This record gives sequence, C-alpha cells and structure tokens, in this order.
Amino acid sequence: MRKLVIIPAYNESGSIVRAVTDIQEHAPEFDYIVVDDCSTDNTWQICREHGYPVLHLPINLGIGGAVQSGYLYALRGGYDVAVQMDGDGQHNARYLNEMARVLQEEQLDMVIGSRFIEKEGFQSSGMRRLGIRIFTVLIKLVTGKTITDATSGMRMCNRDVIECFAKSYPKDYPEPESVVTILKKRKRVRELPVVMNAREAGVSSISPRKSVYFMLKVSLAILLAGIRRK
Amino acid sequence: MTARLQIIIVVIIVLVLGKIIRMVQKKRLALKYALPWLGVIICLLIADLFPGIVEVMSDWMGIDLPINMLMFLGFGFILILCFVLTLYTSKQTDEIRQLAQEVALLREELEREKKNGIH
Repeated sequence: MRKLVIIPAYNESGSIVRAVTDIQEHAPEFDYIVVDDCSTDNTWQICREHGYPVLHLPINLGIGGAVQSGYLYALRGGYDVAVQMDGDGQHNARYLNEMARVLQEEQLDMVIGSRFIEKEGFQSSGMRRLGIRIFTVLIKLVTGKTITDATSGMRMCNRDVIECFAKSYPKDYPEPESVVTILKKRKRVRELPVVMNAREAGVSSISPRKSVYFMLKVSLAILLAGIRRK
Repeated sequence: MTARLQIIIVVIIVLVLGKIIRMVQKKRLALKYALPWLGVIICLLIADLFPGIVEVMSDWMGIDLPINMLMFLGFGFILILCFVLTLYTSKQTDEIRQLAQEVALLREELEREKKNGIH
C-alpha cells in the first residue's frame, strides 16, 4: 500500500518546512510531494535545500492546477492512496493514519477531514462558516449527501478517485465542486473530524474582496456539477 | 453614396487588405485566423462597389435604412468573433496547464534520476 501526501504550496517559505516535518514525524509511512505553484518567494529553493521531492510549476496555475499536478504524480508513481494537505500549517498530519485506516476498512473512495463535526480547533470566521453552510445545503440539494466541510483542503482518496482527478480537476476554488463530481459518480465519501489550526504564515488565497465572487462561482459550479450528465 | 466616398472606402479597404496579406506572408498572422477578416473585407469591397446589393438586401430583410442592416450584420459578426476567441482562449488555457504540469513532472523525474545516479 503506497501512500502519498500532496502539499500544494504558493509562497509558503515560512511554513513549508514545518508542514513537511509534521508529516515526517506523524505519518512516516506516507511519501510526500510538494507542489510549488511558481511561488515568487524561495519556497522552491527551501524544498531543494532540504531535499524534499518537489514539483515546480513553470507558471502559476492556481490551487486547482497545482493539486492536479500532485494527482498526476500519484497516478504515474503508482500510488494507491493520495491525500491533500495544505502547505500553510493549517492541517495536522497526525490524522493521516486514521484517515487511511477508515478509507481502507470501510472501502471508501474519499475521506474528508472536517472541522465542523466536533467543532474543535480553528473554526474560520463567521462569514466563512456561513458560506460553507450554504455549500452544505447546495450539495445536499444536488447529491442528497451531507458534507459539512466541503471547502476542506484535507482530503484523502483511493486509486479510483486519483484517476478521476488526474483526468479532470476544477481550476480555482476546486474543493466543493470536486466533491460533488465524485459524489455524482456514486463514489463513497465520508468525513472524519479533524482539528485545524489558523494559518502560521502566508496569506489565504481568498481575500474579502474576492469572497463574493468566490461564493457565486462555487455555488454555480456545485449546481452545474450536480446536474451534469456523466 | 457619393463617388468620392466610394473611392475613399476602396482605398482604405485595399490598404487594410494589403496589410493583412503582408502579415500572413511574414507569418505574424496565421492564415487560419486571417480568413474571417479577409471574408469580411471582401464583403465590404463588394458592398462598396455595388451599393445596389445592400439596398436589395435590406429591402428583402424588411429594414428601411440600409445602414441599419450594415450595423446589424457588423455587430453580429463581432459578437460571433468574440465568442470564438473566448473558445480559443479557454482551450489554450487548458493546453498551457497540461504543458506546465508535464514540465514540472519531467523536471522532478530528471532531478530524481540525477540524484540516484550519484549514489
């Protein structure tokens, strides 16, 4: 059973080492690959100095294209399990083993780490939570399934879903839309409670100014993915 | 339409036509993308040389003023062209993404092999 952690990183020089060390300590049986989305800081240099395996994108593709590169790497490297974990220190590697165990034992296709099952740790701002709740309602509407934390960037999937994502993955704000696509393919998805941290360094990709656009675009994407014929 | 205006328009059209053909010859513009423009220019040339055609057409379409028909057709052409360009952009974005990912994967593979070669 070969398992890979995909760490998308854009200008994460301040936190990438801690993120990787976290994986090395708490999930040593996972391989990992950093995807440097053409950072303008020295994220790439830091990875090379530490000898981390890294995919360096020659142009900035945004989170969707970066993560998809990781899935392509997983596909070609023959990995059975791939898990996404942000490079900004928000996610804790100590959950990876538990997620992998549940994925395997319950024969699931995807396991998502959710902040909102046990409501512990960093819960994001009120506005964001409202947005995420709207996604939950929309996803329930188009798939009938409940996903409490559709924007979670901490998700683990099996070979089947790796293949799906390597073939096609949404470009920007990809998480909710890709969950809907997977659910629509009748894959089995389950959420596990995790605790996330507030980010240690760097800036979130979603500024307040962009959040209106974000809500509109993701809502529309969920609906379109929901009514799309396979 | 006065004869003078007709001549001015012919001169402009010929200049533009010449410029486009030059650009195609110098490979600054692919023939594929020049074709719709060449088509439009030739239509304009015909309309300018034989203004009767425009009147017959607008009559047939039930448009009182020929100029309105020209505006309508021109606007329609530009809308279609914009849409086609959006399609191209979308497709190219996708192709560029694939290229970038492939480059990143190949580079990683190369560095890995280099490292293994030293050991």
